[in-house]
Amino acid sequence: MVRHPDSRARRVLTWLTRPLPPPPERLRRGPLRAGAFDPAPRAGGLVAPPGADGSGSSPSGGSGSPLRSTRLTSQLGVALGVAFGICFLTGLYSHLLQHPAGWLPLPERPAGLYRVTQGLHVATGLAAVPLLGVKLWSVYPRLFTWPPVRDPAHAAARLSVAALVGAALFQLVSGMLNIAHWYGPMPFFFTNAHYWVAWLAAGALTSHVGVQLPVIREALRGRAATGRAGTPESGDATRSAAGRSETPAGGDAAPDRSGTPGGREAAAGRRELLLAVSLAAGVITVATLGQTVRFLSPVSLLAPRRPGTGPQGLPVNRTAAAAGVRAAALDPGYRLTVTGLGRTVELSLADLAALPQHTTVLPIACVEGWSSVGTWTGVRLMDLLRLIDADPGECTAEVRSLQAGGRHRTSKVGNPADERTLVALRLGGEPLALDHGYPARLIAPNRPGVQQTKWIRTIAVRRAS
Amino acid sequence: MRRALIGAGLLIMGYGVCGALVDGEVDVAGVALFGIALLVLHDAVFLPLVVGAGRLLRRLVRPGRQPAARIAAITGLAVVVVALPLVLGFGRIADNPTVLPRSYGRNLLLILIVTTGTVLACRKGIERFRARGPR
Repeated sequence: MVRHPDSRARRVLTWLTRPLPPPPERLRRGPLRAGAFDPAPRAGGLVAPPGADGSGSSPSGGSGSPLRSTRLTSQLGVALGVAFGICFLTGLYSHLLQHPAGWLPLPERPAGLYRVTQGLHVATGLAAVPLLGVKLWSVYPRLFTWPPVRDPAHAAARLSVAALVGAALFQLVSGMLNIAHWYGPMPFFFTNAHYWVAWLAAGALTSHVGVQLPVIREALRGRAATGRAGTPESGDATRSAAGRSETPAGGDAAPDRSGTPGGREAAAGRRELLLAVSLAAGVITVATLGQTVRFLSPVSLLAPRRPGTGPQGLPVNRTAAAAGVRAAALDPGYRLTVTGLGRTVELSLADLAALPQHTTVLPIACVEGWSSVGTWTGVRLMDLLRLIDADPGECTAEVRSLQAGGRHRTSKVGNPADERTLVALRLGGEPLALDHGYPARLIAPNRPGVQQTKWIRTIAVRRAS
Repeated sequence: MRRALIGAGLLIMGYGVCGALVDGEVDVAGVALFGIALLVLHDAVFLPLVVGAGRLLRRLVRPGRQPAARIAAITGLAVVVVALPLVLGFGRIADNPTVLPRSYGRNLLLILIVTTGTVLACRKGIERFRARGPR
């Protein structure tokens, strides 16, 4: 045998595509049997073309749905790809705001940007529920491909599809549980798991698009190209383009041969399902978006939060009692400590009230997608920094809560010189409610709610590195 | 193009898996358990039920009324899935009435009645939309 430079690569390739012994035929029962998902003959004479995919269909016809088609799957896939893309990017933005990367400074303006991106994140995720549901239904027959595994490459492809489906379900379900504050079913810490599984889903989706690209292209080509789509050659192209990895499975009858009666029926079925998905996504959106878009609140019957309600017209995520700060917050001996650069000052509530007061209108925008606007009054953070002779433009501040524990008891302010960043003492003209952070809380523009630290005890100042 | 997408996707997946393994706050076993459980429940319980319901619908409902019935059923099912954690209300907190402030069971019922009624009333329009030329 002649040694060839790429003989090793060729050996790997040969191994990957070496056929595995097929499992015994008698296991091919139930959904695994040939043509199990083929459309049933319709009463009324419209029979979907038998064996439209050229394989695995029984002349008798199964009892599968005539509504499945490669084109439907591709269109749903594109919509789902856009939805997951939006969720991924808005989620990444939320992550970066909470875990700032030194090389990527994020602006404080527009002040309401996070409210929009996170509202979009949750709304898009919820609207993706019917999309993912129908998409997975449309490819369900492929789960029962026979033989289950042809060769090692096929096994890897199927495993990556399993990872994609698992990760997609994981993201949507864990997100829904999180906005419903129901953590019981999740045996892990939601935030970090949701973040890392997002990368898994994004990667699996990218690979999946790569694998299916020819099928998608073929299915979406030429909107009204009835003739093309109906010719046998284009059908063959679909098959060969799908390559060795996957061929349209048993249930993928009639790739929309609009010229034929069966094709017309398939196209009508596809439109019906697209209508159903759009309607479902629309109803879900209207029923929940009111948690951040206030004028929709009266009709958002399933919104987990209601802006404008709660103490001082603002919802609460964590109460003072739950945070264990009631006694410390109500203690008349309360002092706010500003410390750093070798100096420390302690301020009573009266001292804080005696400093110049500023008022700003800013939203509390929660990672859970709800938001509500408040009118806050208090001392600018930069004025507090100047009390210890710190230059706000040259420093960062860490704001610490009275809470003894908990993940969100401190937060960092990268730009204390921002004039709308306040240590707020009042909300809507009244002293802060205890559950909103009395005696003093942070409020800053374009910032997730978990970082608007409540019940401030200490502000630690440090020179920006 | 295909190879680039597949390769990039594998790299991104690898980043996610390694990140989760390195992150001390991620219980990888719990995450895997939850993902696999969802996958199995969806593919082995939920979808067979949906497929069965679809077959039943095709058998029981007159052909002319099937599209509207299917659209109402799909919409209703999707809304139920989204509403379920809210209706069950395990996330309610005794001292914080601003979390899950509404009566979600009643509201879900209301939405189901209104959407189903509207879809069935628009039966003719749905049939026309369905039968529109190839697109």
